[in-house]
Amino acid sequence: MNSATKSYRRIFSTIILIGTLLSLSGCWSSHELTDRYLVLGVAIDKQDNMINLALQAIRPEQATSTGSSDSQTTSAKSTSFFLLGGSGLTIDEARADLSRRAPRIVYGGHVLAIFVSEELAREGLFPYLDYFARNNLSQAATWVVIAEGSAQDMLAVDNILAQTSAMSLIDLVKTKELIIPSLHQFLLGYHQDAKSQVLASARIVPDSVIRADYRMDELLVRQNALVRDGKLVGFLNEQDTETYDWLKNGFRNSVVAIADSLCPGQTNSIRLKGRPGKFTVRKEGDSLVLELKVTAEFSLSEQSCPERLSSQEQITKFEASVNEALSQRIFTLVQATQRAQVDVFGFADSLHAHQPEVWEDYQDDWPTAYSRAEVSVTVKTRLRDTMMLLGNPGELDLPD
Amino acid sequence: MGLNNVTNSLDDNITYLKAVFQDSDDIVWYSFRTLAQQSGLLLYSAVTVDIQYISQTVLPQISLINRSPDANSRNSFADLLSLTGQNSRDWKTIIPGIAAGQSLILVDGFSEGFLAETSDIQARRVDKPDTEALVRGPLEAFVERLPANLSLIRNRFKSSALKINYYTLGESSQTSVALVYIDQKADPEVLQEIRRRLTSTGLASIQDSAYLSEFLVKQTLTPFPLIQSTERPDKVVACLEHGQIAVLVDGSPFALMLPTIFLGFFQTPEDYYQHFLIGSIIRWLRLVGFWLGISLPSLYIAATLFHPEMVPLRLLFSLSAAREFVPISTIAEVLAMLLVLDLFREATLRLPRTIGQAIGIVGALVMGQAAVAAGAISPIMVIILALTAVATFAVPTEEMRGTVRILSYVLVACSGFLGLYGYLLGLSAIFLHVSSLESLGVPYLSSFGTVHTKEWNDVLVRAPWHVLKSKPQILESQESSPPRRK
Repeated sequence: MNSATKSYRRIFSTIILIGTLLSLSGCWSSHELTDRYLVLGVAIDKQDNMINLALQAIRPEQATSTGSSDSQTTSAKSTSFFLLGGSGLTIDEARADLSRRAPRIVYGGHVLAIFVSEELAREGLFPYLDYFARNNLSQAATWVVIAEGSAQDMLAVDNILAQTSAMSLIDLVKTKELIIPSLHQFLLGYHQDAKSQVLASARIVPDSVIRADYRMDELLVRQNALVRDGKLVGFLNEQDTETYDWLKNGFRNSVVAIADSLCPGQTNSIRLKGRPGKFTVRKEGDSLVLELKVTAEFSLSEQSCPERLSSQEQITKFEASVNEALSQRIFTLVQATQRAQVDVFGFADSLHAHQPEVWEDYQDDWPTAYSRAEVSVTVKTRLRDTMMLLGNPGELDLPD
Repeated sequence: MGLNNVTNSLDDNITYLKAVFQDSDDIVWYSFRTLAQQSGLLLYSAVTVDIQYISQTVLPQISLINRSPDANSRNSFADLLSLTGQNSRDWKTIIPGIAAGQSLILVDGFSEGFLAETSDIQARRVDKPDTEALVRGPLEAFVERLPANLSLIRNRFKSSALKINYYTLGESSQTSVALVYIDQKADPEVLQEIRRRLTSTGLASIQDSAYLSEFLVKQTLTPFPLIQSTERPDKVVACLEHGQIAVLVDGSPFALMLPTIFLGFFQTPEDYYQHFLIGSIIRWLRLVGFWLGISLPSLYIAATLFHPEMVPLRLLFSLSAAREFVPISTIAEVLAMLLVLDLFREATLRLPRTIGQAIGIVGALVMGQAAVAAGAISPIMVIILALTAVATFAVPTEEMRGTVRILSYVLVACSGFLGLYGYLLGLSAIFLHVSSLESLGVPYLSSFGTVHTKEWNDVLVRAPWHVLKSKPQILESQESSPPRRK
């Protein structure tokens, strides 16, 4: 091969290489930040068979104003976000409708939450979330929240501190250790054997204690929406919501008020720490038994009567009373889920994994089988700390 | 005319010299008579000699020359003089000698001249290093005089293994060049190659060591420096001990050191003068500075234009709000600001120090504040720019700082075109290019590709001195681990 051919080959292969490298990329979508609407929240409602899509877009100059400039006085009433809306037969059509009117590109790379109205959630979440699972208007980590009432109202809540309702969720998750299932988790739960999950719900709670002109509407977000087969079937009550959180996510210094075993009629407060519960299912005769095992440690954070927990016997008695109280709460929760036929603890998956032959008998009508199963709850707790430095705060130590 | 050698006729010689030094007003022609009644000539350039030495030592001696040229005696008068110098018959030696400060003594009847050493070249005194300042360490730097520079090196390495080879290069400048190395440490093949390249430059005039550097390396089409230069004698000696070879040029306060490796540009003598932990961490810091210096502007472009989802939400608000009223596009803004930064650097470099401070104020006020207040640029851009500048300044060698400036533009173009993918493509291309470089047969990325912990002791980190007693072998000529060569 002569040198001319060699150099031609070299040039040719360089061009091919560069061409290949360029055509491999998916990074051609360059847009200035100022050409985009940064969307943080999405709300889906339904009205007369039409889907109403509302997007909460941020106004960065408002969101970042530090208050040091003179704009503070003029912007006191203005919010740091605005809502964009569109409607259509499908989500995509609604988005297209919305995009036609929005002068900038709708950018969903930072969407924090998708609020779905209760009405739509009862109809079935999946058809509405399918668009988000395959499109760039959200991410897999985007939270799915069922709105009690209109979803759009959730976006319109003006939170002074967090700037937008979607961002207030960040604070809730961070400070209150609230678990809000994401789109990704929803899809995972949707495809499990139990087909059941507990999603988060949101409600606007007006503050009735504070004077009207100082009121700030707050979003109350809890993980309490019972979903089976992608459809909302009901909500857990306050106490069951809390119990579910303990069982599923573990005790994180959780407070429980317990009847005092030493002083009848009095109530003590304990703080629990422990790992999530263990859920197994076994067959006993003809019936299924759902087993829930919980192990936790607790400290005594408040005691109403000035009685010392001084003997082993007293401590054991106290621990037994805690076990009893927790068992009762867990039992109540499981019964509630059985009534709704929602296997939120994934007993179905456990049965399928460990006893596939048994699962075959039940897989056709698992919700019914779940609702009829017997429940066995085992709680083991241990007192770790009485949180007393010198003595009982309510007890007077007299010198001998 | 056309004489090659000194003749025994003083008149002929004078005629020749008059022609050579025509219109040279600094040449002093001093005629004298010897004790043997022969006429003689003392010739020197008034600007390069020590006049006091000539009048007190040379003049009394030449008038006492008492020998007549005859067939039997040696045809020389030099042994009568107790002066430092040399006999010469060749005009080619004599003429540059006079220019360099030697005084020519000719006596009628002798076909030989004597060049007395009388030079007193005006030179700067040894001073503190300007470009490689240290907080802790020796404070002397090279000057423009080659003998002074060599004395600084000899004084730091008093072993006979230190070899100095002289060359006179440059047809018209007749510049002295010294090749300095340590015997048994420097690779003989590399040494041979350097000698070959030095003598084949064909330059007419050499005013600085930088003239030679492009002839000493093969690959010149690269933004990366393949030869290190320094004005610190301690650094030169340390490098010689590593097996490197130094080239010093008369008239240049910068010594060239070669072969060199990429990481060598991130080492400073101070690494060895302070605690080894601090020395090691700061080496890494400089590498981070290098990466930030080439990457920050391009990463900013990639993140804001192509991948805003990579940016934390609150930061994205700030970026977006800052850009809201900026009239130009992000890429134009970045390129303009990089250009402004380079302009400022260039402007302050050559200005007198007193005016330089004024430029600093203008830069800080006009660019930092007024431009942002006027909405011409975004405040975030100023922060990015300032960070880039600071990161670049953390790179210790000026050659590598120039590389950072060039590469930052290249990467800005890459990421402006293809985002993060383009940035990574650009970075890969740079890495491929760097790994193909060689400095006189030694791979530029030596010590990256090898797993010799002994070598890493003094490359990636600065190990304690008791470990460092055995020096890295990368550049040394050792049979056990010869440097890879084409």
